[in-house]
Amino acid sequence: MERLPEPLWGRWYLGEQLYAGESTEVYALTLRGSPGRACVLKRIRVPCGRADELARVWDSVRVQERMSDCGGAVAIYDEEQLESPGADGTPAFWEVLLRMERPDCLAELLREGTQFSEEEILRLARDLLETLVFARQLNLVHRDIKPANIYRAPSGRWKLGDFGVCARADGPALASAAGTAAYMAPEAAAGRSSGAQEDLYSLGVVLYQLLNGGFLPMTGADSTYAETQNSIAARLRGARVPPVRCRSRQLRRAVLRACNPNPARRYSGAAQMLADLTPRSRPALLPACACLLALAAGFAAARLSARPRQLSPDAVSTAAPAAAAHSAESASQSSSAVPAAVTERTEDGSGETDVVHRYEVILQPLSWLDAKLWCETRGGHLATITSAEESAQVTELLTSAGAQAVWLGADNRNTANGFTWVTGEAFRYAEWGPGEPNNDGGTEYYLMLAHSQDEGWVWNDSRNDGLAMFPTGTGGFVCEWEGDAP
Amino acid sequence: MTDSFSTVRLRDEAERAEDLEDLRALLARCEQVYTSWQREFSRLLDESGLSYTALAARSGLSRGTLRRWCRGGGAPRCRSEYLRLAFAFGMTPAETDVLLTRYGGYPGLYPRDRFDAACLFLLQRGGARYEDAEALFSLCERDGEPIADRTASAAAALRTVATQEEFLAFARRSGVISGAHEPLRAFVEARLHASGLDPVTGESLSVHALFSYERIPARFEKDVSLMLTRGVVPRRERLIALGLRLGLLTDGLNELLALAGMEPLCAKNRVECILIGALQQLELLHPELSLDSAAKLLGAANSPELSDQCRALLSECAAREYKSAPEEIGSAAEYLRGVLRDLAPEEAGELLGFL
Repeated sequence: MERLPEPLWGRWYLGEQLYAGESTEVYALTLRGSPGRACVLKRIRVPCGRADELARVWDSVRVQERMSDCGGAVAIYDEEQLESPGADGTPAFWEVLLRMERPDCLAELLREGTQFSEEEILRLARDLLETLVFARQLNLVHRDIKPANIYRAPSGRWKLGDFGVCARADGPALASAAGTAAYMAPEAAAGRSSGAQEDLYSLGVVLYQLLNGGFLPMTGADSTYAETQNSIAARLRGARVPPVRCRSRQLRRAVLRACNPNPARRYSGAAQMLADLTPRSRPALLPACACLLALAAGFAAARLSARPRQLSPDAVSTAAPAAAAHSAESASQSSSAVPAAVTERTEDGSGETDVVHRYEVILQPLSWLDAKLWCETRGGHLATITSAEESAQVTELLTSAGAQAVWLGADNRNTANGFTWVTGEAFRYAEWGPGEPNNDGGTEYYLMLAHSQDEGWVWNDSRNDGLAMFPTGTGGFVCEWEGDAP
Repeated sequence: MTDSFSTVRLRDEAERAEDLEDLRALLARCEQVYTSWQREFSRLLDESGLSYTALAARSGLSRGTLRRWCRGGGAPRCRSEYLRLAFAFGMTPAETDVLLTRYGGYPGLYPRDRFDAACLFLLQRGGARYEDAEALFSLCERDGEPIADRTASAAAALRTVATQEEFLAFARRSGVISGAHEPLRAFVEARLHASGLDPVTGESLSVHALFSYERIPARFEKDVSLMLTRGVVPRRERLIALGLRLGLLTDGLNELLALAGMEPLCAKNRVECILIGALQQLELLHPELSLDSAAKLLGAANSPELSDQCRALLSECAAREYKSAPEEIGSAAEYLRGVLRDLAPEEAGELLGFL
């Protein structure tokens, strides 16, 4: 390319060339006589006559500027357009010059062998999700999230760059496939765009790769080229990825969900995923209270496991599980516990990488709070249902157990914004019955799954002692374990 | 890029381009689809999950070189560097051939060459390094019986080789390669003969006289001489340029490339995409070019198959009463030079130099 007239913008001089692509070059910029701020020059060249291409470049610059308003994109400080002459002296190229901050590119960090801590990966996830939430507000989809377009600013904040193929979420450009195969969502590869959820899949794959030591899902240091290509092709055809090794269960689940091949089973948007990865502020318990609760839990657990019997509905106490256990009368009726392991198989069908949800139906008419405690003392939690598939699995178990009403793990006691799952998963999927939730009487804070002749299995909000109104032997709760069986 | 924009679709679009403006629009639309070494190498490296250090250790190339390919352009400067990468990335022989021919412009692995055969054997077995191929090659006996095998049967025989001992036996049998690239030589010789043919006297110019008459740069003469005497295949761009200078059009070029163990003209290469589009137009608008070369070739044909091909083409033209476009053009090479200079002056630089 032609030499540029220096100094640029009155005071900047070209330093080392950092990158040279087909139509793009990046240089370090220096202030004469002083090291100056760390910034770079990005030089984009467009052949004269390609006005559409030039407009596209400027569009992506404008998007980047808007995105950097929220701190989520690499900041642009100065911009200029030049004409550079060709061999015969007539203008041959338009050049777009951008002075930008100088961050580290994630792809280059990976190539240099950088390993990232889980905390850093979580930070990257949150930073980029915040950016995507902002993009959503502007109705934009990035469509090419990959390490080469992710940058770490000197402040440590992770940002997005290169909005070249980004599109309006509702725009016609989404009809075509864009992006990079290794990070592309299956529906995007098939030409059926899912809008913002494409970005979540790509981000999911990036997070997976970072947690997996820099290797793409289903690949490792010894993978051959063909194995890697096959794994990418399999994902594009809709193969699920196995769970990634990660200490934080929260992050592991979030990555797995973002990488779900079915866009409907992914997060509905970046905001939801962000909520899942943001530590929930729990009401602080006084240590003494915590001790008491733990004791009560232990006691209740001991009693319940010693006498796995149904409790008389009248005797159910909302306050003390122990008291409830004491007043159990109908000892002759056996409990009905239906364990079931629901396994999500991975592409290769190997048992080691399975995600196991194990559900158990316990037909004891405990209060919601007691039922929650029962599950937690056994290393599980009241079941959460976040998709139609999970719902179908649970209702099948319930039908075979002869249940009519069971507690699920969601409530809205402490939130003004509706129900939340006990696991912190986003409350997106729901199957409310007609007119529900209605908070009848002002104390219906707990999620119940109940069966009726007319509506089948539907959700409703209920009081803590809501199971009392069902015949004995038909009310209970569903406990869920994840990972290995307890 | 996804398969949704496949090479086949791109080639179809290039062939359907009505004029240069159509072609220009196609090139602009598919900017991201075209192959470039920088992009391809970054993809290979990133998808492998290897760091510069890890790949350097596996391939024997320096970290600085690898970094340069990712950041600053530049490409491997010899065939062995591509082979080193193919071993390091754990490629199969077919994948290696793509790397060699599409990105390097080199001929693919040739089963009748002892070193290439060692590479083929180790790549298909997997888990080997480039150094292993060198070591295996050094174990092969320098002399052996000449083989009369055809390339295809040599390749088939090589595929059944499972152990090192079997390989050394195979290499002993293929010790001296005779008749390497024989079909390629025959093909080029026939075209050279046809190009230099005097229609009146029926005599043909020597290669040297032909090249000076046509003002073809001397380096081509060296390429041709190496090819005819020793079976050395020139790099892809030179081979294509030579084909164009010899008056070959799409089918002829693809045949030439296939005989050299290379892919046909590839629509994902910007320059070749232009060639596909432009040659297609040339053939439609100026059938006299293919007629002319077919008529010449008929006079110089050294095999009955070739004569039949030429006759078929000539009679097809006669039957359909093809008409040429009114404007005169000198030769295919001249026309293409203009198109390339217009559409992709930078990428086509090397090819333009040869044309």
